[in-house]
Amino acid sequence: MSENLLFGFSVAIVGALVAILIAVSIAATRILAAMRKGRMLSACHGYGSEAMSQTGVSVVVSGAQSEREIEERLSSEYWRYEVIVVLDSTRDGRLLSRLCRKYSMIRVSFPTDGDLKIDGVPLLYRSRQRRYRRLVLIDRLHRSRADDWNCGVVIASFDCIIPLESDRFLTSEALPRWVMELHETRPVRSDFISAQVSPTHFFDRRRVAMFSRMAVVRTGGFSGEHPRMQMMRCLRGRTLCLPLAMAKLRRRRSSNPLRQLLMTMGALPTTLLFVSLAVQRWELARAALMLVVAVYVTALFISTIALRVRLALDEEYCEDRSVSLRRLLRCSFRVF
Amino acid sequence: MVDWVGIYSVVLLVGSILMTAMVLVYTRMRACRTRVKQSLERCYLSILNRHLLEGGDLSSGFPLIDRRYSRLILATIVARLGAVTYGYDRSVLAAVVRRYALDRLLMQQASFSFGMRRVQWLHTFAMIDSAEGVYRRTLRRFGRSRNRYMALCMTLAALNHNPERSIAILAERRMPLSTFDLSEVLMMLKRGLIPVAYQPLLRSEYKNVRMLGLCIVRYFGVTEAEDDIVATISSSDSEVASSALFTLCALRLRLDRNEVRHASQRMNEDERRAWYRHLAAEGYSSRAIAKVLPANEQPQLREYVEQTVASYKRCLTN
Repeated sequence: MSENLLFGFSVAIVGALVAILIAVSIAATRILAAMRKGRMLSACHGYGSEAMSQTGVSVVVSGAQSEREIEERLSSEYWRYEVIVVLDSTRDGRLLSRLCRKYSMIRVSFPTDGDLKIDGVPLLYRSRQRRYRRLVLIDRLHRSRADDWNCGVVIASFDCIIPLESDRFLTSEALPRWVMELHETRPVRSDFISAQVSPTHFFDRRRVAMFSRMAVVRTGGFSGEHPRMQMMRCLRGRTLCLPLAMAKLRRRRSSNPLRQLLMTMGALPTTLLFVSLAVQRWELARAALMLVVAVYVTALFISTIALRVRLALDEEYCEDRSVSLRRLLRCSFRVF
Repeated sequence: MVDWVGIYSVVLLVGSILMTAMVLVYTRMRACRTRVKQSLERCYLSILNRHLLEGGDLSSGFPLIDRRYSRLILATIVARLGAVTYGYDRSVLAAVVRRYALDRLLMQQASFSFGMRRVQWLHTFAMIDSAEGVYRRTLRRFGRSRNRYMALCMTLAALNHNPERSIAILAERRMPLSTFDLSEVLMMLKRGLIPVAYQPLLRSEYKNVRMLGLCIVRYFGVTEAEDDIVATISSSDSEVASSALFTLCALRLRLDRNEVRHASQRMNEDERRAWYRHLAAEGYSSRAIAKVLPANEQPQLREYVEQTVASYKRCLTN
């Protein structure tokens, strides 16, 4: 009975591992293809030029914590672009006053009759200097990230919205690439285009996305604990297999579903192994051990694919071979 | 079953080791190749610059040019240089292309490669002055592709080859020109390859040609084209009409016209909101925008316009 159970279990695990391997290989191929497209585009003179910047993009940042973060976001070369920073001066009033002084911000009227309903009375600041016109500050009591993003959507000047957390930063290529993908002729127009945050997080749910403002307003704005994910579930869009943003702060716990799945699959055979050893059935213990090895080797192979993608994506990546190998092993153990 | 799992593990383990080794070797080779490429690029660029500035024959030649890889680098440099040589004698670059048969080489390279690499080689091909025979063969081979990037490369190659037929080439193009396509065509125009005659473009009956005309007018700030832009607003194609409105606004021209009001009326509520928001962001006053509003505009949209414009002005209650 237990042998049959183990046999069925082994078939299921190996089947799942093969499926994951195929999915990772497809994702890696798509990332590399998108990267090659990016290289082709960057060789074109018209790409990212002023002639292409007809579409404006508003980036809404919830809870920025330092001036340097804001400056980094303002440095994009894209022409029609604004950064809406939502702050809470009751938490850190000095940041707001420093920003107001530095960028000559003045308080302006907040449009109350917007498309979305906003709680509270937010204060809106714009710069009196034309060169800082792309920076907009909102001071409001922080309730939730979704509320902050909705507030940004209400005052956004442009029709494309990119909601970001304080630790997410767009890459220099992000805006022209996103806008270009938006204008690619497709039979069905997308309400959003999502992109990866890290090149090697193949199935990560923590994606960034550019939303159509009209679509966001139509669905009633962002809501819930994971507002971006919820919005993406409500709308029709497509996914870009390319990292267009990066996370600067390391998260304590990853919510990568692939990692969680592999960890679960690794834990179950291990438990089986120990149970089998306890009852002195070597054949069963051996089978369970082989399954553990199979899971680890799959993780190692996936890490190798991730390493290949990582090295291909980063042109300036000139790492020592021993460091690369160590990184590979560490990564595979983490996945395992 | 245990055996199968064992075989699976061994195969993957060997695969991982081989793949890691390949990745590391590939990275090392790529670093070496990049260094060689950079030095060759610097060398070829200085030789070409000298010839462009001082003239003279190319008998001194280019180092290591007998290698295919070096000739591909030279082709890329010629294409890149051709894109930024304003007013220089382009025959020098054409002579280099003819002497080393770079056009034929690029066509072969495009035939051997796939996907975006092929597009990259075709784009380089489109930027150089190719011989008639090679151009015809390339057009025959890739001209009917449904890939939009390859189609763009072929359009660019055709514009480069026959600049006097530019309007006809754009009119004959079946695929609509996207923003990126327009900016690429505009870059050719900036190099002086296509004549900047906006009037025939704006008055054309073809969508692609009109879109290019509007793009030219917007990019070069041709305010003299006001009448043609206003006439284009009445176009039945919503994309052309919207682009014309955007152009009128980008050139900061007067908006209180019947054509603009009719265009606003044709939009749905969401589009009208976006249009008013755009006007407010561009700095138009609420009085100027009020003149654009259709007579039967909803009161809440009128209020929205007022509030949006006010959100760009200092708050006096502060």
